[in-house]
Formats: sequence, structure tokens, C-alpha cells
Amino acid sequence: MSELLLEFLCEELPLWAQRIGRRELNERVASQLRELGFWREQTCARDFATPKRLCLTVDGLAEEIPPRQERRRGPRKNAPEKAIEGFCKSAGIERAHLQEEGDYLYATLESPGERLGKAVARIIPETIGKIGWQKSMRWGDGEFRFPRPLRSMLCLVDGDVVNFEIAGVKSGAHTYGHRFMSPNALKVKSFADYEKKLSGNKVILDSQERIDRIIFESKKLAEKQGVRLNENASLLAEIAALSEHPVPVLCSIGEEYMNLPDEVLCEVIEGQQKYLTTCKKGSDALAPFCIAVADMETEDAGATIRRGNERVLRARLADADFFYKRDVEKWKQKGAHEKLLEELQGVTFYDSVSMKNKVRDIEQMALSLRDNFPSLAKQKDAEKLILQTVQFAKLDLSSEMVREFPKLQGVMGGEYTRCIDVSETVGLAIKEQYRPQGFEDSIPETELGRCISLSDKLVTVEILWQHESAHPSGAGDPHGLRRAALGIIRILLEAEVAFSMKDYVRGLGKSGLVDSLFQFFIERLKVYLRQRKNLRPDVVDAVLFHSDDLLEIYRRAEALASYFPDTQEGQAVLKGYKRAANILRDEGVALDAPAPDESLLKEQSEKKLHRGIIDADRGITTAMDFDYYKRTISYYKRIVDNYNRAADDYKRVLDNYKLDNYKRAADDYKRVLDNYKLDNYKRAADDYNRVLDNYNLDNYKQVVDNYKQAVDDYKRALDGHELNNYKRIVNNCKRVVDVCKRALDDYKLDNYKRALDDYKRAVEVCARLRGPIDDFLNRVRVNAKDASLRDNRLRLLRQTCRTLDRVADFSKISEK
Amino acid sequence: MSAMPEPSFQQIILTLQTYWSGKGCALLQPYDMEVGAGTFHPATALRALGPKPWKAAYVQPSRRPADGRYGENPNRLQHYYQFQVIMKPSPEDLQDLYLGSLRELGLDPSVHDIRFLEDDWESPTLGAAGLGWEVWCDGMEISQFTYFQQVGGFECKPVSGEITYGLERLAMFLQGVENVFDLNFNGEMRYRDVFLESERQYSRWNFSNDAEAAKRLQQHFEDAETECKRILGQPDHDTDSGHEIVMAYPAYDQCIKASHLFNIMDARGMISVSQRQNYIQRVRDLARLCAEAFLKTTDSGARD
Repeated sequence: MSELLLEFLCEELPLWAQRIGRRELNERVASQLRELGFWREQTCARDFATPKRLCLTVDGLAEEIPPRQERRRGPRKNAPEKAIEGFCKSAGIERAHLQEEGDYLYATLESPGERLGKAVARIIPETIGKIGWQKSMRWGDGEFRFPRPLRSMLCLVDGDVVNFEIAGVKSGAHTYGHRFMSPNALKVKSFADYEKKLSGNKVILDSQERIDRIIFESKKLAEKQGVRLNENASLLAEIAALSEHPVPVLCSIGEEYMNLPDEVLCEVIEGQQKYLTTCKKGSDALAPFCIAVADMETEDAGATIRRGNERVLRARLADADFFYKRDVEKWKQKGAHEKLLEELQGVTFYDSVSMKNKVRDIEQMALSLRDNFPSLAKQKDAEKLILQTVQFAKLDLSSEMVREFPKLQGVMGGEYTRCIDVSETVGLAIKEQYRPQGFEDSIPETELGRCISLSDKLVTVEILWQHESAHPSGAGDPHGLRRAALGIIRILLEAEVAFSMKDYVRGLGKSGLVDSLFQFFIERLKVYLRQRKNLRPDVVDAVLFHSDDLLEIYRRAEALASYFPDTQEGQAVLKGYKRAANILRDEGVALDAPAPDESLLKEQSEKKLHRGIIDADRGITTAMDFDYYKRTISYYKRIVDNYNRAADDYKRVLDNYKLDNYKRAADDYKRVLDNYKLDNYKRAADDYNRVLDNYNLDNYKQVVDNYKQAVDDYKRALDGHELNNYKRIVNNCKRVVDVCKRALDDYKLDNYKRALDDYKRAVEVCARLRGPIDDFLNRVRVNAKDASLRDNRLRLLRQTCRTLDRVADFSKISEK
Repeated sequence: MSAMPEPSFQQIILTLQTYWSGKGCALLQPYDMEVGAGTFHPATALRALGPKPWKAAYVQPSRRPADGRYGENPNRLQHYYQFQVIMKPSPEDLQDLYLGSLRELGLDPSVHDIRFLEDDWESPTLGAAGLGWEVWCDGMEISQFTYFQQVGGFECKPVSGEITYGLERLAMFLQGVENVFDLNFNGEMRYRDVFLESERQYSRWNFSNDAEAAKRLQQHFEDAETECKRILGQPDHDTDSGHEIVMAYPAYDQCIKASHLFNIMDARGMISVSQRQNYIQRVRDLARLCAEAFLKTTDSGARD
């Protein structure tokens, strides 16, 4: 068994280059070695990266591959000359060397054996040029591209140097130690020797080991000061990628700067200076200590390094403090926010759209979304809160702080609104308006924050999508539309917000844009579900026809994935479906072919399948009569609308209560009764009864009671013509409307959860068809001699597919 | 007066000049025009183009009108010095050469923490880009290190290596001074004695604006743009001398003039966000024309 060891020594590689480099080096070299046949069952590859090196070691490889002969069948003897030539070319063989056997021509291909070292010498220079760096450069007078200049290469197979050359650098048996602490050339024999020599020369090869060391040492330092280390994972990874021998150094933060908001401190300390922050014990508030991670052990135990870092930090914080104080002063001035809002007119958001225009759009969007956030909608001053939040949300864009630290937009707005007399909720929502900022960040915590963040992102996408040039393409997304879409998706899914994507994209007007934006959201949803929920895109595709509500799509896809395609039942049903679909396609059976004739079902298995389908159909109907749900919701809406209208009418009646108007009032009553009572009451009562039967919720009973009372009141009003009665009627009506609205909200929420369970049941029904389908396909000969039997069996298959199609579009799901 | 911290500001310059001159660099003097950074000196911006090898080092006074703080901020100046090194093609040991210069300055890498952090450079007005690092010493950025990939929209072949030392920052670090105006300039004077008054005056001027002045600035910008294009519109053949003379350098002067006027207009808040792109594009167009012209000249190596 052989060992390969490979190291590329470079000038300092950024973190992204370390990540891509080690991964692709591993994958690409491994796949080549597999293809060539050097890979054995016990073969194992490991990759490493430091700021200066990319390393790969593969252990347990075959020393050599033996010569092989492969016989490949070509075209028929009498095939056109062109086809034969093509075959010769692809096989790399002369026409004269083809052999005839039967009707076909054959080529015998000899692949000579090869030793591992020789193969490696060939593979590496090829592979290295294929790595997909996001950015690369040339240096000196070379043409070769790499993320940073390549300075030395080590390549050994079982201790022997494998010779090749890349970008003028020759491979050898040497590596080098730490740039400052041990810059010696080190001759290496094997991976074990390599690792040992590196660690003896102040280089920790494994990035996780470097991270662990940083955490361990930093915790000790923090402990000594009685504070707690903030283990910021992405920062730790970044720091570990900046040193080969990390040495944490404790630094103090001047007390005079601890009054700055924590976000500002973090932006300077973590963002700019890349120091780890610490917290006071038992609290989330920052403590006045941070930890710089150096790449050096020094004789003075880091004293000089600490002094230098503290000085830089002081200067940076003094700058931030200066800006912060200037901003606060400005915001405290009388009428500051009107002035700032006016300034937004001069800030361009995109093209001809000013930030002020955008704010107006966000206002509209947020108000229209209010009802999608139940507890926000119930709040009395919801509208005022929303308008205030949106108006203050973008004011910080012209602050000095945000100009200096663009990442603090929103955060500073939230801070500064404290200077203006608005509720704490508004400030909090402004702080949260840009969340989530990525996969790791969480969505806003308050409903107001969610509503504003969602509105902002929806408006952003809506404005930018109108410009073809702003669309993301390939790796480029100059305006962060994918990030915005991800934020939208995450808020909808995580906060369980019902939202019609079709209604939203329709706002764009132009049909081409409407379609492309809808597709864009579906694509982003698929990416998100694949990466974060482990749901396959084809499973998502299969449920798309049900809904344009991303939350619903997600829930359905998740329910579907609990069986399809990975469980045994799921696999079997899917296989059956595909076989059936193939047969139906080949035989040209129409989608709407009539149901099978029961009298023609002869064999046990087909009877069983037929019964199974009928049961399944029924099960699916009860489980997921989506139309029924939708209808009920729209009935409710209509009832509420009717009540609202009735209330308006009554109000008018009240206004006209003068004797002169009695007659008109009486007419109005009649009209009201005619319009709403007779027809609607019947229909509404039917609906209520159905709802009551189905759900038996107290709310609904109350609705009915109220309604009955209201009707009684009308009657009495008609009889009595008394003013008091009218008033009561109107009040009653209002109450009815409120109750109805509440009922509707509850119903919506409830319905969602219910619909999910129902859909799961429907999926289960499909999965249960496994037995009958298997049985039928294994035992029944579809292609019966008797034409009527055959026709009937095809109809049975069509019906099976139709039934399954009701739940999901299984043709979209690929088998494993 | 308390003892002046060492090394003095001018000693640092002398040390760097001696060091890089020893590495084969031609010691040039600052370019005699207003520029925002050492990169704008034709010895870098133009010489980075074309195949002809080139090594130079020089101090370049740099102006950033928007950074003026009336001499009240301990870290910000609207006028400061950069020390610039350019080597084409970039030598294999450029990082080591750079570290050698730090040692020469008395900065002992064995007690400090010196690191190279990714910082890719891009100048939208020059149409230039490169990959490289900012160099940190104990958490402070003391230099920029760039491998030029493109200038004026043209690929750099071979690639030049550029090192830029922010001299005030570096001096503050070496002298252990927290306020730039406290720097020991030459053992007798401090930085404030040399530059405080001019900082105050220029800060006022940079931000002072009225409609007349604004119109004039705009006119100057347009004049520079027109002149640049006029120069480059001339035929290569000069009838007066009878030689082929492409006037890349004089045209480039107009390009940097336009660039600096843009910076002043920007500092004075004369330019809206949407106009900004347009101005940048106009300067970049000039830079591209100049680069194209330079590539026809002997200095780029085109006519060797």
C-alpha cells in the first residue's frame, strides 16, 4: 500500500482559498485516482490548510495498476463509414485493428500498467489548474493563475519525490517551518514525518486543532479576568486561517469606550480588528477585555504585541466614539427626524428611485402585510407603529456612523430613535429590519420587526427586478437579491406567515418579469430547502401545483419527503408509478381515459388494486379537500364583508333617523334584510353548520349566537322603530364583525396546521398503495390477449396515476 | 522639551530609500501634481503596463480632501505621505524583501506580530485592480501589498508588485506616538510644526464652497477631460520633430488632474450618488485612453 503526500506552499492564502483549495484538491485528486484504479477499499484521503499551505495526503493506495485489456463493441459491420471512423477515433485505434465478430466490429484496447508516482506526476499539474477559485491572480512574468503566488511544492509517494513543475516551481522533498519562528527548510519522508516536523517547527497543520487551541488558551485568559469568552464560530475560523501558530493575547478596552453600543464595539473589535470579545459572567453585555490572536510566541510573552494592539484599538474606538457623539447630537435637535426624512429624497436607492420613494413603498407593503401577522394585527395602534417604524427605519443612512460602518445600518437607527420620543418597540423593530443577514443570523424576534424586514425585502426585490441588469447571474449578485429572497423565505417559513407569492409578483405588471420573479423565488426556496432542510428539489417540484404559498409548499414537501422517495414504500410506489406512466405513454392512453369497468376485472390482483384506488381516492378526498378549505375561508371573508357593509348601512340609517327619513330607513331595513338576511343568512347558516359540525369550535357557536341575536334585533328594530334599538343593532353588528374576524384569524392558523396534518394523511394513503401496485405490476399481464381486458387494465393504471397525481406530481420525483 | 521618539519621520524615509535603492530601485521624487495615492504617480500607474522591466521607489504626498479634520483628529489627515515601491516583474522574494525593510527600520519581527491579511485593491477611477494584502503589525495596518493585475482596463503582463507604506502610520507605530501631530519629524521639529497649519487651511478650503467656485471646479474638470482627449487625438507622427511621439504622459497629467478635481467636488458634497458613477466612469475612460497610448511607447517596452 502506498502513501501520497502533497503540499503547496504559497504566500498568505485567504480563508476562502484555503477552503476551496483543500476541498477541491482532495475531491479532484481522489476522483482521478479512483478512475485510474489506484483507489482501494481502505484508501483514505485527508486535506489540510494553513494560511501558507494546502496539503493533501492519501494513504492506502495501490502501488501500481496492472496492464489491462478492454474489449469494446463498435458499430455493425455494415454501418456507414463515418460511424466506424468515429468509433476508431474515440477508441484511439486504427481502422485496420478492428476485429469482426458476428455482425459487429470490436476494438481491443490495451491500457498499460502504471506506477502510482508516474500517475501522480501526470495528475497533479492537470488537476491544480482546474480548481474553481472564486478569484485568482498571476504574478511575476508567469501566466499561471492561483489565489496567491505559489512558492514551493512538496510531493512524495512513499518517500520518493514525484517530479513535476507548476508555474516554474519544481516539486521536491522539502517544506518550511513558521515564517518567523522557524523558517528552516525541512526534509520530509512521509506524512507522519511531515506532521511531526511541522509541529516541531511551530506550524499546526490542522485548522480545527488551531481553533481548539485558540478557544482553550483564550478561555484561560478570560477566566483570569473573571469574564466569559464569546465563541464566535465564524470569527474563530477566520482567525485560525490567519495564523499557523495562534497565540491568544489579552487586551483591555478603555472603560471610556464601554458606553458605546455593544454592536458598535463588536463591529470595531470583531469586525475591524478580528479580536475575540468577552462578556461579563451571567450576562450578554460585553466586558472590557478582548483577545487578539497573534501568530507569534515572543520572548516578552506578547507584552509588545499587547501594547501595540491596545493602541490600535484605542484609536479605532476614539474614531467610533467621535462619530457616535456627533450623530446623537444631530438626532437630538428639534425636528431632526423630519429633516432627516427629507434628506432621504437625495439618497438614491436604485436608478431613479430615491430612498424616500422606497420608504413610501415599504409603508404600503407593511400595512398590507399587517394581517399576515396575527398578534400585530390585533394590536390597537398597529397602523401607527408600522408607519412610525418605516419612517424612522432608513434615517440612519445619512449618519456618520453608518457611513463609517455600513454594516451597522439599522442598528444605529434603532439606537438613535431613543433620542426621539417613540416607543421602545419601534426602536427594536428598526434594529431588526435587516435580519436575517445570512444563514447563521436569526430572523427578527418581534412581529413588528418581522413585518418591516419582510416588507423592506419584498420592496427591494420588487424595485430591482424591474431592471434586467440588477438580476443575479451566475456567481454575481451585485444587489444581494438572493440574500434578500433568502431573508423573505426564512421569515415566511420560520414565522409561519401565510403569503401568496403569485399576488405579490403580479405587482410587477409585465408578464415576463412576473414569471421570472416567481421562478426566482421557487428556485431560491429549493436551494434553501436543499441546504437547510435536506429536501430534494424534485420533491419540492412535485408539490408546486398545489400552492403559491412558500410555507405551504415547504410543509407539503416535508410531508411528501417523509415517504418519497427514500422509504421502502415510497420507492416501491414511485417505481410502480413510473412503470405505469411509461406503459401509459407507450400505449398512448389519454389522461382522461374512463375509469375501468368493474365487471371486466378478472384477476385477484387487479381487483385488489381497483379497491385500493377507490379507498385511496376517498381517503385523499377527506384528507385534503383543499377547495373545501379555500371555499370556507372565502365564505368567512364574505360574511365579514357583509357584516361590515350592514354596519355601514345601519350607520347611515342612524344618521337619517329623523322622522322624515323614517320611510327611507324602513326601506333601508328592507333592503338590508333582502340583501343580507334572506340569502346570506341561509348560506352563512349552512356554512356555519358545516363548520360547527366539522370543528365544533366555541368561536363559531358564538358567531352563530351573535348572528341569531342580531337577526332578532333587526326584527325588533323593525317592529319598534326605536332609536335605542338601532344603536343596539349597530353595536351588535360591530361585535359580530369582531367575533367573525377573530374566528377567521383562528381559523386560518388552525387551518394551516390542520391542512398540514391532512396532507400528511394523504401522503400516507399514497404510500399504502404500495402493496396493490406491486402486486398488480408483478402478477397481472397488462398486455392481455383479450383487447377489452387489456384496455380495461390500461384504464386501471391511468386511474392509479390520476389518484396519485392528486397528492403530488410524482413524475417530477426522480428515483434514487 | 521631552526627548524625541526615534526614528524620526525623515529618518524613516531615508532608511527606506537607502534600502530599496540597494535592491535595484530607481529613487524617484514625488510627482509634481496633486494625487490621491502613490499609485497615481506615472511611475506606477503607467509603468505597470507593458513588458519592459521596471523598479522604482519614491515618496508621494497624497491628498484625500474628504479626510480633512482641521488638524483636530489624531489619526486623519487630508494630506499625508506614502512611500511607494514598484517592481516589474514582481520578484519571487518580494515578501522577504519587504520584511527586510521592516528590519532595517528597527522593527524586530521576533517580538512583533506581522501578518498578511487579504485585501484586494481596486481603483475604479484608474480602472485598475490587484490582489494582495494589508500588512498588519500588532493589529495595525502599516502597508499595502498588491500584485497588479490590471491598469486602465489592460492586463498587466508581466505583473508588477507594489508596496505602499503609510508613512505617518508607520512612524506613529515606530515612535509609539498616539497623535500624528506629535510625531518627531527630524529630531528638532514635530509633525505639527510642519503640517498643522496647512492641514487647517486645506481642511477649510476643501469643504468651502459656493456656486461660483463649484462652477469653476466643474469647468476645470471638463477642461482637463477635453485637453486629455485632445492630446491623445493627435496623430502619432509629430510633424515638427519628424518623429513618432505618442503623448501618453502629458495626457495622463490631465487624467490625474480630472481625478483630483473629482475628489474635491466629492468632498464638497457637489456630487450626488447617481452623478458619482458618471464622474468615475469619465475619469476611467481617460485612464483607459492614457494606458492605451502608453502601451505604444518605448517606456512600456512596445518599441524596443
